[in-house]
Formats: sequence, structure tokens, C-alpha cells
Amino acid sequence: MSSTDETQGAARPLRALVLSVVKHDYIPLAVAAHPRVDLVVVADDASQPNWVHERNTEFADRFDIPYVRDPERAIAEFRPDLAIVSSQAERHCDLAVRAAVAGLHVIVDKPLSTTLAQCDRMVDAVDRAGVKCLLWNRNLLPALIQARDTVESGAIGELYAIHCDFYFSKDAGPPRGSRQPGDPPIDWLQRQIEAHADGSDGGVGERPMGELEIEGIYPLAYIRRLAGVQVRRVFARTATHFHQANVDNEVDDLATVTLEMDGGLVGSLAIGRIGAASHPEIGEIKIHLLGSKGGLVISEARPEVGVYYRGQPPLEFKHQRVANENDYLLVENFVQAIDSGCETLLDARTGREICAIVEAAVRSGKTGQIVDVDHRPSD
Amino acid sequence: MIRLAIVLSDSEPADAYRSAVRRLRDVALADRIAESDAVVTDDHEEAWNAACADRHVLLESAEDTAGPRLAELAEACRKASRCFMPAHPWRFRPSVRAVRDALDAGKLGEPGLLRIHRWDRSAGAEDVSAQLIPEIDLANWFFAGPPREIYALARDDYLQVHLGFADGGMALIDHAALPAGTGYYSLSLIGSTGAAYADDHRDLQLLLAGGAPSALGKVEGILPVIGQLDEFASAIRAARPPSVTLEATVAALDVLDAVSSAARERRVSRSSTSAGGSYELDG
Repeated sequence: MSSTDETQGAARPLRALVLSVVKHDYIPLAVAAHPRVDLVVVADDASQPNWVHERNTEFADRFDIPYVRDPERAIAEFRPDLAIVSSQAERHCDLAVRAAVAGLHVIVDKPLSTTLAQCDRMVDAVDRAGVKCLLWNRNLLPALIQARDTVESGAIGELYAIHCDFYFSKDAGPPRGSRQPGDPPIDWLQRQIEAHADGSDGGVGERPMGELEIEGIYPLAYIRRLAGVQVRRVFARTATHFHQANVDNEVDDLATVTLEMDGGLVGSLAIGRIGAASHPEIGEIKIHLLGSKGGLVISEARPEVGVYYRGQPPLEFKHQRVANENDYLLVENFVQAIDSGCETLLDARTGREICAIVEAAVRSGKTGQIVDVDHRPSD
Repeated sequence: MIRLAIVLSDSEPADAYRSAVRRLRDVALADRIAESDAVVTDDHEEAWNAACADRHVLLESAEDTAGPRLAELAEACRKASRCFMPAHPWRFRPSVRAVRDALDAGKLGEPGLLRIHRWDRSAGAEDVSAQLIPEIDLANWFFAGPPREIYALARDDYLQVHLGFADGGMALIDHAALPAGTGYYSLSLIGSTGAAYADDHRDLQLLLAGGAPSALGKVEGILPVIGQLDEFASAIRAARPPSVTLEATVAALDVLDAVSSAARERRVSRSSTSAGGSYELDG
């Protein structure tokens, strides 16, 4: 389906299907804010539980667009050009594949999938359909753009090490050690549903997910983009250090990963959901880069403006990020990929690569062994 | 009054100790060991002589003294009921003390993750791993014991270390050389109920003198020396062991040996005991 109207010399609007929006509505909101894209319908499988339909319906009502409990019917009736998938993580791949098979370009919330087999299925479907896929990411935050520009300018010479700290200062329910004798283990899905109110439900779904799986894609995408090479081997330590839900469901909330990359590059990742008390803002997110001519230290949050006032709610962030065009730039990148046929900033293949690093790190954390990353044979 | 003789090979640290003495009550300078109650020295022969002469000993560069010799010194002081303290000035840096105080006060809960970036002016031709004693010691200190797993990667003038501690604690440390100029140091400790960030990135001041802005690093001056000397003097007065003992230096040296092996072989080095120490490379 051509995205440009050659008669009028203007690109035609792209019609977007919101294919489940139970997790992060900021993704379809970002897409809707782009002048080239119109949201036309929300859809999801009828078999989904009520809480899913409630969230989908609320979003549809907000935009005064229909909610259809049948994605294939929605695609047939509304003829969208693209789909935005922000479902439970274990459904990302299935929904995205169905959209791709139907010829839709796809924006997928992170992670690409919770299993490598599903990631491979996604990559194959996107390749066969010849559609574009964008895995949502933070690589176009102003600090990341500045980091990349600085590295590419040669200011620090040839890059040889890159380290990322990615701590979210969010709570995740009761603290570790709070379960009383006789209490049942915390149900993961129920906990995530409760967490939707404060936006800390990145792991929403039936299958429990540790912090490496939930958020690891963001810092690993930074490293991928800045280093430009693949990670081949990892050594990880993982722990449940903060939250009872993670203890009860045996998934990490704190992890450290040593990364060995192509070309002799090395690095590390420190990641955790460290609790709301442990940082005054959303968390400490920093990148340290070392090159043959020097080092570079980047605070992902900057630029910021500090706002403090009497009666300020304790949980309100006192530093507000400004000049952040990540959302617009990501959607613009996606639209340009559709228009021109080039690849997106973070496509399915790279998303699969990142999932493989996460999978290897989780295995390393459990076994205490150095683990080779299971990349696709063709990569 | 504790009379302190300063016998150091380098004038800069000697001057720092003289200035530190002036900042402390009931500590005075002694011109010679014979007139002193205590000696600070970086020479193990001088240290040995001082210990045999019933002097308290604060040993600078203790990590450069062979393990058996260190043990002999410590034993000589113990027999004479004298204080023996290996110098670990990094523990007394104001920024490190603030982190440690928060941990000791229970504000951080159980330590979970220690992250240190240490980028020095220049590592030069020296073995970069040997310079990592302070960071290894800090990790052992914060986690109340040596690690159980060690992995490391090394290249010219660069070393990164990954440590796993009992109860799930972990540390990542990287040490790199920078071009001549101001170095960089960042230490963060994430605990189960709080976190502390001692980070040069936050502490840099800006210099705008044409061209791109420059950053002025933080200055801690002789405060680490004052803190260390104060602890030494307090231990002497109270006739108690100092907060830094021979065991800490030896433990850090053991871990460093294992780090070097792990980096050389690109294998994990693992402790044969649940408490850490006695490392062997994975097969």
C-alpha cells in the first residue's frame, strides 16, 4: 500500500490500528501525536479477560474510535496501514505476527518477546511480509543523541568499553521479607494489574518477568546503538533483592552483566527496580563510555528543569525532563522507513538480538557460568 | 598525647600527615622514632624496627608488603600490645565515609550492588590491576567479606571486574586510564531500602573560559589522611583494634590475585568456601 500520494505530491496519512493497549498507552499516544498518523480503531481478541477489554475500551473512548473484539475483522473493515502492539508481553509476538501477515507495518512495545522462538517467528514474519517493524525504545532521547554524536565525532577516539546503569526507582508491591507465614505467594498478574495506576506495570502478563526481561532492552539498545557491534558472551549475577513479588515468582529485580562484544569491545550493565526511596527521580540512568582518546559520562535524564513547591506530592518527580522528542523522532523514523523502504532504528532482527542477550544473561545468572549469546545463525 | 613519627619516602604524603597532625587533638609530631609512641611509615624495615621497639605502627602501602611480612609485623605489635594498622586511606575519603555511614545507620538496608568507575589520570606502564586494591577492599568492606565469584576482563590500561558475594550481593568495577588531566570517580551503592551515589558527575564544577566548557573535579584534600590518622589515634587511646586490620589487606590481595587469574584465563574464579576466599578457576 503506497504511503505517498504522487498526484498531490504529499504523503497520505497512515491509518493505525491499536492492537491491544493494556500496558503502555504512551506508545499509541506518541503515534497519534504524529501529524502523519491517524488512529482509526482499537482491537483485541475477544477471549481476553475483562480487565484487558476495560483498558482497551477506555483508550478507544478517549479517541472516539471503535473497539473491535476481533483483530482480523478490524483489519478487514478499517484497512489500517500499521499496528501498534502494547499487550501483555507474552502476546507481543502473536499479535505482531498476525498484523505483519495481514500486511501491516508494526510498532511493538518492549520486549519483542519473552522467548527466542517467538522472536524468530516475528523476524521471519516481518521478512516474508516485507513490512517494517519498530521495537519501541529510548535511543532518541536528547542525551542519547548527544552521546552518539560525540562518539561519532571521534572526540573519545575508538570506543573500547561501554557501561550502562539502568536503575528504576519504582516499587513493585510489598518489600522482600514482608510475607507472613501462611500468606499465599503474590500473584504476578494481579500485582501488575494493581501497578498500572502508577505506571510500574512493565511486566504485565501471566508469565512473571525479571527486570532484565522487562527493562533490559532499553540499556542494551543504547549499547547496541552506541557500540554498533553484537554482544557475543555474557557473565551475569542476578538477585531478588527488593520486592516480595519477585521473590515469590523467582524472577530477578537486580542484575549485573559483563558483556563481551565483537571487535574486542567490552562493557557491563547494572539494572534493577530498586525501590521508590532509592532515588529522587525515576532512577539513576547513566552511560559511561571509554575510548582511545578519553571518556564520556552521560546522564540519560538531561536536560531537566527542577520544580519544587509547597505541598508538592512526595512521589512527584522534582526534575522534569525537557526537550525530549524521543516519541516524535521514533514515529518519524518509522514513517520514513515506510515511505522510503529503509530499516527502522530498532527492527525485529535487532530486537531479537537483544532478547538473546537477555536470555543469555538470565541463564548466566541462574547457572553462575559464562554464557554465549544464542544469535540467529544468519546474523 | 600521642607522639607520631613520620617516616615516609615521598614528601607529599609526609606533608599531608604533618598537616593532619595539626588538625587533631592530643597528637603531636615526633622528630625521631626514638621519641615517638607511634610511627607512620611506608618502609617495612622501619615498620619492623618500630614494632620491635614497642611502637604503634600505621603502615602505608601495606599492599606492597608481602603477606608473611605483614603477618610478622602485626604479630610483633600484638605481642607488645601495640596497634598495627595497614593504611587504607580510601576508606576515609569523605564521600566514601558518607556512603558507609548511611549503610551503618541502616538507611540502605542490605547492600545489593556496588558500582565503581575509576578513571585515573594515567595508568602508564604500571600493572593496572595492582592499582585496584582500594576498590577491591571497598567491595569487601561494604559486603562484609570477600566475594564468592570473580570474573574479569582486561586490556592495556583497562580492567573491569565482576564480583558475586554471598546473599546475592554483586559489584562491578572498572578501572581505566584517561589522557592527562582530571580523573573521574563514581561510586554507587544500591541497598534493599536505599541507595547512595558518590558521583563525580554530580560534583563537577564548570569552567567557561572559551571553547567547550571544562569541568573542575572535586577536591577532598587531606581529609582522608586526617580521618585515617584520627582512627589510628583513637584505636591507640582505647586500646582496641583499629577499624582496618591486616585481614582486610590480605583479603583484598587474595581477591586481586583471583582477578588477575580470571582476566588472564577469561574464566570465572570461584571460592571453595561459602564465606569467600581460596579461589580456583572454573574448569
